[in-house]
Amino acid sequence: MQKPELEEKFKIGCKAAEISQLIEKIFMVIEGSSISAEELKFNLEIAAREMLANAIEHGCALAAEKSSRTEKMGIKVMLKVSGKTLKLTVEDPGPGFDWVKYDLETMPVFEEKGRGLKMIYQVSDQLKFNSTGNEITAIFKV
Amino acid sequence: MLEESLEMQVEENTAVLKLDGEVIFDNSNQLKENAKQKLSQNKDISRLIIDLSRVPYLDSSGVGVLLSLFKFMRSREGSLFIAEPNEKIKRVFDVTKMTEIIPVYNSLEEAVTQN
Repeated sequence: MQKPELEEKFKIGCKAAEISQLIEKIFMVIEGSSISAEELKFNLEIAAREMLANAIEHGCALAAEKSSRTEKMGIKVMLKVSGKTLKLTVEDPGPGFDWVKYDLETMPVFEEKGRGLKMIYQVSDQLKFNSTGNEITAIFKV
Repeated sequence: MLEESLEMQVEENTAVLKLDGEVIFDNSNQLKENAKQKLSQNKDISRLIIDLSRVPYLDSSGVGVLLSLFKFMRSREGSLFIAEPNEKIKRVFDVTKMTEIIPVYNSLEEAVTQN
């Protein structure tokens, strides 16, 4: 198995205010690597922000319904570059969702909600979920 | 986004709604309600321009806010335009195909002069 050229793990609380700072950290790591494509950075930021928003809005919120220890809850993020791929994984503390039945392709027209996952699907080259659906990985060609 | 980060200037039938700060899932509902409240106070407004020059990022919830305001203006037979999104937000609009619904202009002046 090929050794990753870059692997960084991050953790944030279930707070929207922590997203921008984490995005900055991810970009600082990328700046120090060989990745330079602007288009990839645009797409990575869109995906990262939507993945983190979903983790907080759905994962953390559902987890909070079942536990009073919300201050201990967090979101795990992993950035991995190996070969010609960049992988961004976000794991939330929630119960997950049934991603198998989810339509990732049809972008809503006038609806006010339901675009987040479809945006991640659009900007990434591949999207993977764990079996329970509380971990999502967006894969990009670099 | 707090009340003070949303300014509205009205001239004749045109309102320019200037947003300041990120428009994301955490503040989008409140922003939408604040904007509609301001618009409801002046029934003469038939053209709404949303100035995004001070918005560093707008996520899928932000797109939902713009579409909600688009429908709000359409319900009063008015129109909505967007002005000065940065390159990141333009990319969000491309991905969500929002530009097929709402006209987007690079400058506020350009948006103001549209009919």
